[in-house]
Amino acid sequence: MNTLHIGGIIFMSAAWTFIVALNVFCISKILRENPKKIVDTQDIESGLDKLGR
Amino acid sequence: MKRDLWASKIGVILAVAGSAVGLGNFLRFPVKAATNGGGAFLIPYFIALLLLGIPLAWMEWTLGRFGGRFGHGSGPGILNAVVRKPWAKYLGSIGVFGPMLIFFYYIYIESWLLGFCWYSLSGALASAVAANSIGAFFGDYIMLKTMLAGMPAALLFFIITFVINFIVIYLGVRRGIEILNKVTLPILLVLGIMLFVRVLFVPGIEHGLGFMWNPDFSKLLSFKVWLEAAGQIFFTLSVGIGTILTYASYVKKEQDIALSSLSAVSANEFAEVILGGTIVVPMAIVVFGATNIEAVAKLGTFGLSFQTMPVIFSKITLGSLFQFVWFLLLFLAAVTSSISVLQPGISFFEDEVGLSKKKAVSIVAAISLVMGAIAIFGLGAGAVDEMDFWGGTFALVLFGAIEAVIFAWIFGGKRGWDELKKGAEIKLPDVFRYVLQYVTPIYLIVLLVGYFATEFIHVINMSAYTDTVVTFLVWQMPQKMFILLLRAALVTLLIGINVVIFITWRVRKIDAALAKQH
Repeated sequence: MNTLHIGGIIFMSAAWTFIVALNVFCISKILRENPKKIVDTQDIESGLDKLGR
Repeated sequence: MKRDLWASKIGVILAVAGSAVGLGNFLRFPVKAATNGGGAFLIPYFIALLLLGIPLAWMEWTLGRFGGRFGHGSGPGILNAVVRKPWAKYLGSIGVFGPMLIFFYYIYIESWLLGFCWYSLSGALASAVAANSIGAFFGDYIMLKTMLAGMPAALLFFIITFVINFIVIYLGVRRGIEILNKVTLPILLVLGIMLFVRVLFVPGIEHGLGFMWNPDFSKLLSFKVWLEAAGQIFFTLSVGIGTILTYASYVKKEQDIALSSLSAVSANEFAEVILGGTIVVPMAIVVFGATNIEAVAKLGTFGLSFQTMPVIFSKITLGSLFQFVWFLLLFLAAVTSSISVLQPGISFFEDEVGLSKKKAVSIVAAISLVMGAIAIFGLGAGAVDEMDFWGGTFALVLFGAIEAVIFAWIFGGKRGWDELKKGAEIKLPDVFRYVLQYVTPIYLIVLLVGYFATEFIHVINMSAYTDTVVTFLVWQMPQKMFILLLRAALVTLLIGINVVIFITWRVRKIDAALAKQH
């Protein structure tokens, strides 16, 4: 039977490494983001609306 | 009317990733890769990802956020705001028609997954596998012959799935779609990783992985393999459908889209290449052997999921548990995708026509129910295949090409690039400016022309259909006649959307003139 050989291992590892690295890059960037930027201003606005500004 | 906005950045990323992660990741990708060169398929696949997928996703996010700034959330309004020419809004109608069309049949397939979750728990699926009658079990289920609670089981699960979808969509972007994705996406990933780990410990999996990943470079000489890779990227990233356009319109005007888009793409690729590439095909090889894989592959995507996988799970330890996990995983992936193809239609009626959410949801639900019934009762006559071609293949590539041309050559490459970079939290390599402006639109045009030249004549001639008499509800007719009537219904729907666009803009013009007079 056609078992996993060196060519398959190289392609599989290269693809997996690229995708994991891309995910790590994106997640680290999201986590490193300035917390002020992710404050939900709409919630604040709707709260102020309820209080009648 | 104040438009809904995403509550958080992670919410929009998960929603777009949820839209992209669907049945294609776990069923379509592994079959395409294994039959088109194994590991070597990853070469055209990643080239298409870099030159087509990621750039087109960036274009859609940019156009969507731009249109949202003017209160538009669907193809007609967004393209009208971008191009500022009367014809643009009619081209945008494909961005409403395409996703609605996908929803009409996708929801039925999604409901099968819910049904099979139920049958995994009840033990009926295990009994069917033990009796060697899984094919008949699946056939009876989808042809409405299996009864549950006094009605066809497939109809019962369709109604439940339909209601779930419309409840989520009625709750809106932040209370419905965002919360659904924040809950289901992490669960989906955990279930996927559970299956992935289980598969890696199956004895003989190295043969399955070998079949899936060992490269066959001779396949790369075929142009078809490059087309298949580009098609898979299109299909998997949900680009060209109109959903990203709509989702991005709910992003705040200075919020990052470059990183959000890349994050959604990378999450999708994780689900597709790492999870999807490890589960189905390698397991099928272990259980059925490489010599029988062609027969298994002939069952198609549905056969692989609903007939082959239960047999595979019956042969491994804790198989019944993992069988339930498998169908739940696919159901969650399908729900987040079906919700996303509903939203452009809802947004069209809310943002462009100016209807209330209740009315918009009611209209889309009514249309979906009628067209969904055609998919359900016309399944045996080829209705789902036909809808899938026009909605899931043709509209996708056509609308993607329209968006790319508008972004690159009408909105303007430089302007589009600057718009994309607004609020960006990653530094975009300058080379992508030229990719967006030249490579992606030309790549898409070549794909479209190549497709028209080789395949379209077969579609027009209905080569895939015969004159065999088929039954649709109480009517009997030749299959080609049924397909012709279905095409007429789809054209009527497309014309209907364009008539609504025409009337809406005419009314707006009159209102604006009256306001000026006063």
